[in-house]
Amino acid sequence: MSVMIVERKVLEKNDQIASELRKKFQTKGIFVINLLSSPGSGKTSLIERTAEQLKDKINISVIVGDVQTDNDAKRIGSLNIPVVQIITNGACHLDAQLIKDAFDKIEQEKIDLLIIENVGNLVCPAGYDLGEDKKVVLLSTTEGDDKPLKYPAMFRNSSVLIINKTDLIPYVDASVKEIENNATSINSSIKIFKVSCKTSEGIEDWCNWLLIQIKK
Amino acid sequence: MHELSIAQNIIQIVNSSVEQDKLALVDKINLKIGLLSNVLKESLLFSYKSITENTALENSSLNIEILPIKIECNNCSESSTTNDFIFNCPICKSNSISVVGGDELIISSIQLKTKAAEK
Repeated sequence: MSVMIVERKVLEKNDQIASELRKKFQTKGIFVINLLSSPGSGKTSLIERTAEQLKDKINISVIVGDVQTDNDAKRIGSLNIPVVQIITNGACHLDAQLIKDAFDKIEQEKIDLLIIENVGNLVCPAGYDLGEDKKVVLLSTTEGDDKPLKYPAMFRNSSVLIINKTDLIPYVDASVKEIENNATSINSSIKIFKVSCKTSEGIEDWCNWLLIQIKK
Repeated sequence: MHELSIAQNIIQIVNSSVEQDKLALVDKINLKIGLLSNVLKESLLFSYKSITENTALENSSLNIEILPIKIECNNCSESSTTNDFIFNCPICKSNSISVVGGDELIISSIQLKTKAAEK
């Protein structure tokens, strides 16, 4: 019996590509967010509202991942911003190589803000660095207020929490206060925005924060 | 679901660490996995077994050590560990803490059987 000491990270290849991407994004002055949530929380709607609000002020591009269909790319593309659809054919998360390949297709565009819409899933995408500046997790009020406790890694790894569908609060049992308490118990420094992509309430605050990050 | 792609990454690293003619001697692959890495042990063991079938690595298996979440308190400066996903300092109860460990996903070592002929 012999033992070889290896001490290598299992995701070393992903981390290496992600750090190359991060350097590239920084050199080009692109602020990148990795947008994460369950399916149906409103990631694509948030991108639509954000683009409507900001597209006359800054250049936005989107990379969107889904297990199947290019429905989201069609929705976002109708706003006349560059969009690349990644279809993962079953894979539950995006990895850095997929982002590298997708970014090649829009690299010649002028980009201030790149939004990566990850596959709808609160588990697997948490572990994959995509070279982003910030992980932003979106949680809608219809999902229940205990989700930060059930998926701690996702809320721990994210810098920003956006609580969506605040217009539905009168009809659901979840409380925004309870979502905030649970999220800050996992991650005391998480920045929280409350929005409704239906009525656009709160979108301006979120967009103002984005503009500040982009100018940094 | 992503345990299958993690198993594939493990195999790639073993392939690049062990000489090709010694792959069949690989016995145990020792892994350290932090609780925050979102990897399900049973699912990873199953994925690894499934995709090494009928390959040089078919007699090898994963030996997984689960590591706790490590916390350093920004208030009282004490270090502690938790297995409960509670992000408070157990000593002073402050929630101003830094997570300093628990997201590991590392191949620490590979154990090889010694071939009788090579002794």
